[in-house]
Amino acid sequence: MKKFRKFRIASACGAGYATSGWIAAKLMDALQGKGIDADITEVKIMDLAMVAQDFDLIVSASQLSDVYEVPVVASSSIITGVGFDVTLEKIISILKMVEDKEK
Amino acid sequence: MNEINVFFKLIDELGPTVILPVALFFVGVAFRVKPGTAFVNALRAGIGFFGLNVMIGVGISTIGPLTSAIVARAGLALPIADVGVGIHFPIAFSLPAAALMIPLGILLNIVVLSLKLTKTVNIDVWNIWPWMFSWACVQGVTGSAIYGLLAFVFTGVVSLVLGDLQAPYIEKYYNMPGVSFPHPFSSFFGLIAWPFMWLFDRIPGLKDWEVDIESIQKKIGPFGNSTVLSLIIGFLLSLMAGYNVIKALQTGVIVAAIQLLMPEMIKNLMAGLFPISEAARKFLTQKYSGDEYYIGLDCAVGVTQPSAIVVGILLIPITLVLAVVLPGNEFLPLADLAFLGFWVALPMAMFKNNILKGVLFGTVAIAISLWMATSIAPLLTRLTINAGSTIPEGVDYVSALTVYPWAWVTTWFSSLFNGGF
Repeated sequence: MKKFRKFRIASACGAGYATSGWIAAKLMDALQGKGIDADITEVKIMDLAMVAQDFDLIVSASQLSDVYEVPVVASSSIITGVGFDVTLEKIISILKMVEDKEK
Repeated sequence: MNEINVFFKLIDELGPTVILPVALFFVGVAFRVKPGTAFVNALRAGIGFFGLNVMIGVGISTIGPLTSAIVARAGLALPIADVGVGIHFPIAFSLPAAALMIPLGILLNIVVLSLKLTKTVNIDVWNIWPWMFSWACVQGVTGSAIYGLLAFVFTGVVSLVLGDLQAPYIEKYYNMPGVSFPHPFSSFFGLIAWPFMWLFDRIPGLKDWEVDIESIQKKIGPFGNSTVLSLIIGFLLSLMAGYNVIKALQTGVIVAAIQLLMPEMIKNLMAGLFPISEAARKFLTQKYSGDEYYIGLDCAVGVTQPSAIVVGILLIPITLVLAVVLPGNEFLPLADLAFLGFWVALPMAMFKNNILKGVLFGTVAIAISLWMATSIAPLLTRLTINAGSTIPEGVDYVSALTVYPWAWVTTWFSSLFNGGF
């Protein structure tokens, strides 16, 4: 990917610090490994409705309905490691779409 | 003997803000973390511990007098202040043994696995802290570290075993196969939910009640934001307490600030444990993988279910009314009102995401928590002071609605032999 502004990703879980923080740390590592620049913010799930539009993508600890007009990816595979590659590809393809849209 | 006394006196004098990072440094090095990294992270945990105490101090000095003023003015007999979930951490992490909680917890998990009592591999090692909280409470009542350790073991084992039994619901209704929540909060309320599951299925009309969750979720809008919600609740309760509008607004902002900043402090404490927990996770996932095991995760995963979010918000007014009308309750819920989704995180899967069932069960579950928060308040207040906070004059007791149930159970059990909490 060419130089583009930093992607803004929300990592959501119930309390907004434990699981989401863990997901954020692991995803950050993985994205950096692919040369993708992103800011990942932990968000309490309850607060998502208000801040959702500030993000390019939401990764959520479990399934989340698409009511936020922002793409949502379930991130439990990031924690468990099972199917992490597939999730990561999905995330990257969504980020690419975001980039294409703005160009 | 004398040297040992001097050593313990020194530990006591240094206090947890120093002892916790020192102990974590050595544990980190033992886990083959580079000394430099171990030092930085251990220090960060100490900073998180200090920051938590600061935030709890702010909570006590704001919510405490507010609660007292409401008691005096509105005549509500609810003198125990809800300073929020953060109250657990200084208590749990004030014992030097807290630095060893992750290795101890993993050892216990391995023992329970090899005894074939569980199939759950708890890779969510951060959430071993509630086991430690049980330890701290029981040690606070009995004065014995041995009984504390027993409470730690009990909380861990019961959560792992119940995690297995509850996993099929998570697979079926949350669509997460191979996952369990061996979490001391959800395992307790999952257990309480079982008879209700049976009961609800026998009540006509309740069984097939359906609602469009997404449309409710959209309507909630800004009121579903935890800081806005805290501002409104703090403001309204301040007016009830007879504060003028200026002071009520100021109080509202402080209550909202606690909501946002407390997790920031907890994040620092967690980050301090990160290298140890990462090493632990790697070890566990390498040694125990495959279909015969459940991967144990935080029940916060379940709270992201839309049904749990909606129920969590519907329970807020119910909780406030319940606090007033429930016999035996002396606790005024406030700081933890944004966390009500946790009571149904697992039960929503057992109720097939039925909102009405969730609200009915949630009401019963919150009542149980109100009683627990009331009865354990004297102990939590004492332990909070021990951990380094001060309680201003006129504030009787502090507690939290989220008080971890297995800690209450173990404390209650040990208090039977020690004359009360």
